[in-house]
Amino acid sequence: MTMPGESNSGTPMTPDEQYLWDGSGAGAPSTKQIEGALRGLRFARPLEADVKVETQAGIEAGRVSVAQQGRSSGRWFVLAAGLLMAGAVGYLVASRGQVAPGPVVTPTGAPETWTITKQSGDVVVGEPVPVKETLTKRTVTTGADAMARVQAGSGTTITIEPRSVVELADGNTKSPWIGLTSGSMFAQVDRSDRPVVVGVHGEAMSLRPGCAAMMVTDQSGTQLTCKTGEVHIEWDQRQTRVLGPATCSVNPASGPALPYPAAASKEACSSIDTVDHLLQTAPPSPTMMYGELHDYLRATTAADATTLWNLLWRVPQEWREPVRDRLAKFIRQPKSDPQMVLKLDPMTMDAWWNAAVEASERR
Amino acid sequence: MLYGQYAPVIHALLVVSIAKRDAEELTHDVFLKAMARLGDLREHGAFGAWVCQIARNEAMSWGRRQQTVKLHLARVADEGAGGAGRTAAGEGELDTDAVLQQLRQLPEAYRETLALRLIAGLTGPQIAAATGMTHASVRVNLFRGMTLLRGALGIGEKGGGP
Repeated sequence: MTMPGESNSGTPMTPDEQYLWDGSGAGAPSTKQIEGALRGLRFARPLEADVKVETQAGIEAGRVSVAQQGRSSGRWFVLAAGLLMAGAVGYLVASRGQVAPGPVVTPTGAPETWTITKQSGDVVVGEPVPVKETLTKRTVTTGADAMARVQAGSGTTITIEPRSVVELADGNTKSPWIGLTSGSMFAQVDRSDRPVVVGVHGEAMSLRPGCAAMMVTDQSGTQLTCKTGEVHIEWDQRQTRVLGPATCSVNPASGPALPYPAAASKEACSSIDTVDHLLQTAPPSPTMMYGELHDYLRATTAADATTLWNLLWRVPQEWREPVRDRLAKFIRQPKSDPQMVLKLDPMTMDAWWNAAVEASERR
Repeated sequence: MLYGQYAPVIHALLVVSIAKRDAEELTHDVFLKAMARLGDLREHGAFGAWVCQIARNEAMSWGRRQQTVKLHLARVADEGAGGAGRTAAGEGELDTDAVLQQLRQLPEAYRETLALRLIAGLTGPQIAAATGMTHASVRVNLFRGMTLLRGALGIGEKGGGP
């Protein structure tokens, strides 16, 4: 508990901090400068005359009356647009589950890794383009209302959604490889199949057997939603592993962000976001970085075990120890030497990942 | 009146997430949406935190409705190049859009708390009351956020960090 006039560490606030806190101290010139620059953005627009809102009395009674005649046409438009969007989403969800296959559009020829099936609309399958002696690539483009399904292995399916462009590699590849150039797709990798590698913005995401994941990409980046199973991403010698259900955004310049487990609280997500931001930008002071990390670690639970594992790959070596120690509290420690975690030894990290997954599922 | 009390809060949260010209319009929408769903609110004392969450959700779905994030970024960039509401910086003053641009880059927790302090003009205790955060969290966000913002703008007093 901090007292008035004290910062969180119990030390008295500086006049600038006091000013920031309640306006009572003398603000530093830079604080005044920033405040002055932002003051122009202050909200000054009164409520429109035709919008009446009940005050506190309305809240107490749990009632509300909103008169909005002047805006009703706009509201109807929004409602109609909403219904249309809901219809479109319903159609997409329903069509994803359709079993009845359309015409197979895979051109005949050499053995193909993929079987391409048109589900609806205009699906354009390009000619194979040689990449290597035993490898070709072909482009599949879906129109505004088109969907296509590609299959590989014994039961792996990938649904390519409307307005998408993907590249499929055919030939001798270690794993089926699909490049998502733009748009979105939903992949389900059968447990008995090989992993599927999805290339986005020059990065490779490995969808492990048993994984179901949605990927949406454009020039600004990729949003990965892993529903079940695991997705592994390697970027700039840094590993990121996503255990579903979780989301992860991938920036073409800075790579994958720390994944957000679906079970994580908003506070934990916000905290992860802050730590990630500080790690990606040069922190102005190690004290601040340490403070944020300390706050995050203190807030973690077993639900965050996999996030802690991902964090190990991101923090500088000197800060790995507290992260490892926190992770060790939630997992059944593997027999491998814990010191090897600090060196990011691949086999040790694999063992700790499996333990983190087990802890998350045991929770 | 609730609107007078919370509109500046909602607006400050929106203006650091979406284009300025959209923020004012959306402020009304958020407030109306909150009023229409008031029956869902079980604890009246949590109105501030609740309306803040609606504002965040609306800002996110606004971005999605714009469909291409690129478009939104382009609009934000347009503002940086001289959009409506731009304040020209005099000598010793900072440019509004330049500061806003840097503020938008901060992590959410810092960004929102600083927006409520510097744009909405709330004090720390008022921010805590409006958002449901603890005083300690507000303090941390204010002080660390300001240190980051100063660093990003390349101004400020050295050694002023926590």
